[in-house]
Amino acid sequence: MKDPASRSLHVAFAALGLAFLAIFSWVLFSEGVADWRTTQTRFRALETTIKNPHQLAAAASVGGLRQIWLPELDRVDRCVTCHLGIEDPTFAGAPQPFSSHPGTWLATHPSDRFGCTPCHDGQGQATDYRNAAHQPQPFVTRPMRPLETIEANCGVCHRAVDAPDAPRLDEGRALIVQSGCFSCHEIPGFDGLTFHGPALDSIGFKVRPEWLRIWLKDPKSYLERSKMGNFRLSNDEITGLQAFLLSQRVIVPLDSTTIDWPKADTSNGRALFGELRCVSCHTINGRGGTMGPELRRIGDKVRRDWLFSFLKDPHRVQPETAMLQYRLTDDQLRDLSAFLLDEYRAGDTGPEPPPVAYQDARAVAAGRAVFERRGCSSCHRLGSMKQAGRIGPNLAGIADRNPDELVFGNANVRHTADNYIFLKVLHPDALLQPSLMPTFGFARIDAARIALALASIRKTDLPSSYVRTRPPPPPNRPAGRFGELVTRYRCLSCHSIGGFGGDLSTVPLDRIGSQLKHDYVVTYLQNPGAVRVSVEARMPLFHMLSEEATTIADYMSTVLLDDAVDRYDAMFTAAEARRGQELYAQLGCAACHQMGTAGGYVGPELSHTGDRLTPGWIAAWLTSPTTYKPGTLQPDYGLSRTDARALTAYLSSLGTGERSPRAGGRP
Amino acid sequence: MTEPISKRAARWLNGAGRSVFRIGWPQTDKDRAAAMISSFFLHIHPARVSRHALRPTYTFALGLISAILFVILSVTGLALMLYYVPYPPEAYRSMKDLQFVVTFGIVLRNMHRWSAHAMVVVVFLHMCRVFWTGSYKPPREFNWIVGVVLLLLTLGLSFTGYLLPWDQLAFWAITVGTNIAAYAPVVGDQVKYLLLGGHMIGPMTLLRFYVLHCVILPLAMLMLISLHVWRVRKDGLSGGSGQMLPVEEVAGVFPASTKTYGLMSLSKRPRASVESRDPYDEVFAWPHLLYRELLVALAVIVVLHALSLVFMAPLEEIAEPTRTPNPAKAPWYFLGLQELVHYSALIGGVIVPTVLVVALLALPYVDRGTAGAGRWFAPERRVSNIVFTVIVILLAGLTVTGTLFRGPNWAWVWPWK
Amino acid sequence: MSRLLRRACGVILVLPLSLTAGCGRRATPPSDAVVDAIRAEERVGNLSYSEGQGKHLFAQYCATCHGDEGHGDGQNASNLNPPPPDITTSKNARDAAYLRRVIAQGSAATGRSPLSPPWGRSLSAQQIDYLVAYCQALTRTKR
Repeated sequence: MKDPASRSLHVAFAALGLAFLAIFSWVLFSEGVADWRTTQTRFRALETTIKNPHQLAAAASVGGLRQIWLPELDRVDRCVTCHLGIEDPTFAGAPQPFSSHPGTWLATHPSDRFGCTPCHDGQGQATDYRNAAHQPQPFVTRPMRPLETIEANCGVCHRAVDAPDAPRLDEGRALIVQSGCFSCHEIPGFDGLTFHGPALDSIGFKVRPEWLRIWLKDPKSYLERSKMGNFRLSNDEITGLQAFLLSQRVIVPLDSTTIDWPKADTSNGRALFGELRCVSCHTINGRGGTMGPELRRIGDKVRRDWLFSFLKDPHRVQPETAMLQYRLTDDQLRDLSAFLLDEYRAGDTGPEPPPVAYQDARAVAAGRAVFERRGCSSCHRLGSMKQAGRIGPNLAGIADRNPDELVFGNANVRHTADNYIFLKVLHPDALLQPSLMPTFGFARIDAARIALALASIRKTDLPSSYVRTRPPPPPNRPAGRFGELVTRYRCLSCHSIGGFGGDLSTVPLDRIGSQLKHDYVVTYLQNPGAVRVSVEARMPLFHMLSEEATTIADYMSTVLLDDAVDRYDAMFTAAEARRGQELYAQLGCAACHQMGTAGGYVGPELSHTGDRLTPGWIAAWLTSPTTYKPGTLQPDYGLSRTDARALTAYLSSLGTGERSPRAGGRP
Repeated sequence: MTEPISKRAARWLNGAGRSVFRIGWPQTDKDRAAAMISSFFLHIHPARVSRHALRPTYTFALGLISAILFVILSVTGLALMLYYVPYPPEAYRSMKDLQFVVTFGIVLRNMHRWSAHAMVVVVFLHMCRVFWTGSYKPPREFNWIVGVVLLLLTLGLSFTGYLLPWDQLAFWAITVGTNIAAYAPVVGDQVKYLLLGGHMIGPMTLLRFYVLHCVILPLAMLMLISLHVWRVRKDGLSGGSGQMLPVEEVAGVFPASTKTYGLMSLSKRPRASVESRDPYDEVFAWPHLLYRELLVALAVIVVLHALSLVFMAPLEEIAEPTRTPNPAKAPWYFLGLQELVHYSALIGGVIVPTVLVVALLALPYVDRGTAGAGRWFAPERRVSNIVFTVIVILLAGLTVTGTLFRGPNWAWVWPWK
Repeated sequence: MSRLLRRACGVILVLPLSLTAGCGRRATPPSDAVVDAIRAEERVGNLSYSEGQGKHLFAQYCATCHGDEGHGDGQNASNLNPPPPDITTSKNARDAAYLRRVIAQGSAATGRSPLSPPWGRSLSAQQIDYLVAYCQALTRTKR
């Protein structure tokens, strides 16, 4: 029986058969031209042009899929399937993906231990460009980071340690420390750090009421670099807070009614202001240190009585202040206060307002409520109030938050945790989400750095062998008479001992006794001069007593020592000193160091080095400056022992009035 | 002894060939009949089939396509099993490896995925076809029941396979799916516990789903398919082209033109192959039927390859129990139910599925009249067709709504926005 | 039958097209705010990443003598004899190997005055590469 449809069936069979063949060969073909296969073909072509035949034979060109397996990190990175030249310096500058890895990163982070994606992110398992997530891809949680933000991944392992090759991360972390983010948020890696705004116990005596209003409205309008953010308070809240704060009057300022204010000599105040080197810590018109508050408009802010008392005994008026206590007479204090209040103000502030006697109880209560709700006591101590603790959310694992759960509002940004943190830091209230967090007014770049630092806080349970961490330095406040002096003169506001203290000074005090000569310390403390020509921040003029200076010097030369520096044979020969002088010229030391009036003014002036520094220290410093001060401008010439000794001999002979060799060491 | 070597080789080859295909290339009708009678295909097809059965617009080959898809799924599934590790992080990683490293891995996975989705659709359409042509009427009531169970098994296989990639999509689809199951009264929580091997999806769940997906359900499916096909073979295809004799008339009679072969003829069963057959309206299964089946199989394979090359099977981030996507959606074929659950958990999770399954199972025993059987949309069955069609459209509408028009928090969204 | 087929083909063809068309209509792509902020700061003057890094180092280690822009007009330049060269016009600055040697081993290593000290022991090879990149960028941006 003939099927009438058999002809069309045969045609259909032929067509379908051909279609099947075609599509099946396409399947075969697409596997054969897989991204990584063609890439490897191109690599082999490149290899033959770059390498000579001998190298080629040695290279035994790799074929097939390659991967780095990191069992400890639970990762498989197949990036090396295409990035074939990554470990081969011959391919430096070769076109991507074949170029060798720039820099020394692979030397410090060997690929068999660190792979690729722990630093770069991206999908390591993939074997083609798109799926490796060089660019953001759907369903890849962590696409490759661009170099701009890659430092966030440094911080995953390098926790709370300065990572010298990750400047943005470092700056971000420094900003977190400076801004005291951890006062309101618990931030892993910043445990144990504390941040204090001024205590507010006696603010009612300290500030002018109208100033307080301006400040609460927007701190930046008074002080550009205020650390306090703008809390976006309503006028009612400000009125309440103002009333509440002005009613805080615990420590009564010294009575200045006996002071004859009309006799104040502001020109003497101005002279004192310069002589005491206030600008080492305080900024005036954009110049000066950043340790203390800017003084440009101090006249608008503080009351005269308070200022006088504060200058006379800062530690009584404000116990935690970084300000040191000068030895000044009441007349000098009067002149200085008058000068400050008169010189540094926006306009005529009117007469000294009388202390507010009465505060509206309702307003005070309302202000107290605001004070509690906005967590003011997280930063500001107030005797009558319990510390609020951390009212912000815990930031542990913030970088692992699901972007779908984060509120981005109308912002047209890619929905990533990074961008969320960034926007939140920049404008806490901009993401269509009510927020108690104040607006700190960070520059965009600073917000980005902070975002980087926070983006490195991951939940990952890294094997401990990968984690680099450093416990925070314990408070190291010396005791005894020395301790008293350190407290009075607030040495640790600028200097550090054992990693604890300020970083304004270029000199940590850990081995200062081995570095400086005793007599020099005594003289210097009583009349600090500039060691460096071009540095603005200098030690203030303490008007220290000779007995105090000696105590400090004694303590230093018996406690703050470094054996490696001390044990130095300082019996130099004249030949050594001569050789040192030659070297001084030969190495071009004068390019940076002044001697008399000749030479550059980058480094310290050297004509009195012998009086100032111990020979052991000179030798140690010359031999390996970066050990003692990372990032120093003193170059490491790689001096031999003999050369270092010769230079030391020469430098030790300077300034002692005699050029003859002389026994050095500590007296 | 002087026979040339070429002839001896040819004879040897011929002998080898004959051992496989007993009848050579069939040239005569006798051979064509013998080709079927002597081959494996007799288990599936009779030697002669009615022309009516060959009309593509009658069956649309939906049952055949389902069977082909099952074969494809078995083959690709076996290949995938070689690479798959049913333990949480590795399960996801083996998906990535299939995609990036295994030769043809991604094509295999895509084919498996799209075949599975296609099978759900095709089996469902097959059921609709059987209803619309009234093919579940006696004597095929029981085969309808088998078919309904096969539909449920298909859904079960698809559902258990859904979890195996262990990505977010899988994890949360199964979470939602099993939560719907938990709405069942009394046993709901136990069923969920049994399925998950715990209160939450975890390694135990993955192992259970793996065993269900790769061993238990396929075996059950295979047995039921055999039964299903065998019943088709025995009960005959519905709807002869000519005038159908009412079944009642032949009941109890052993029809003369009914053909059974071999041992089967000894088993006197009055209701085997009840169709009245007109010998002049029949053609040989080979080549007419088998050739067409081959064409359909080819077409299915071509289409699946094309789909697998163009559309990638989805694979999202690794399953993260603490990270709930919004919206979390069940596999698409349960989205109709999820949509209902959104309005009422009781209706969507309990009443509708129970009623649907019970109604499908009871259908052939309730709707027993044979009028209009064997024809598409027979006017005699207008009411039941309308009711069934409305239900199908409602289900499809709900599923499409749940799939395309539901966004975060199950709010209405437009799919193109 | 054939009409049905054609219709089916039509639907299959049009569906993905309309879907992709729907996706393609998205407005400006969302930006990466963090990356943009850092780029805006560090890549002033179209510097590449390495050059941007080098600029930081240059400011710290070199600018006191060589000047912020490498013109040899740093604040300490007047004290030096011979004065520091203008990098932006120097022919040597185009030679990466030469730059690397001067920076790492000091100007004395190239037979010139010893006034430019060796940084090879203080800076990592990576940092020196960044500096080299920045110096070369200085010659490039010379107008």
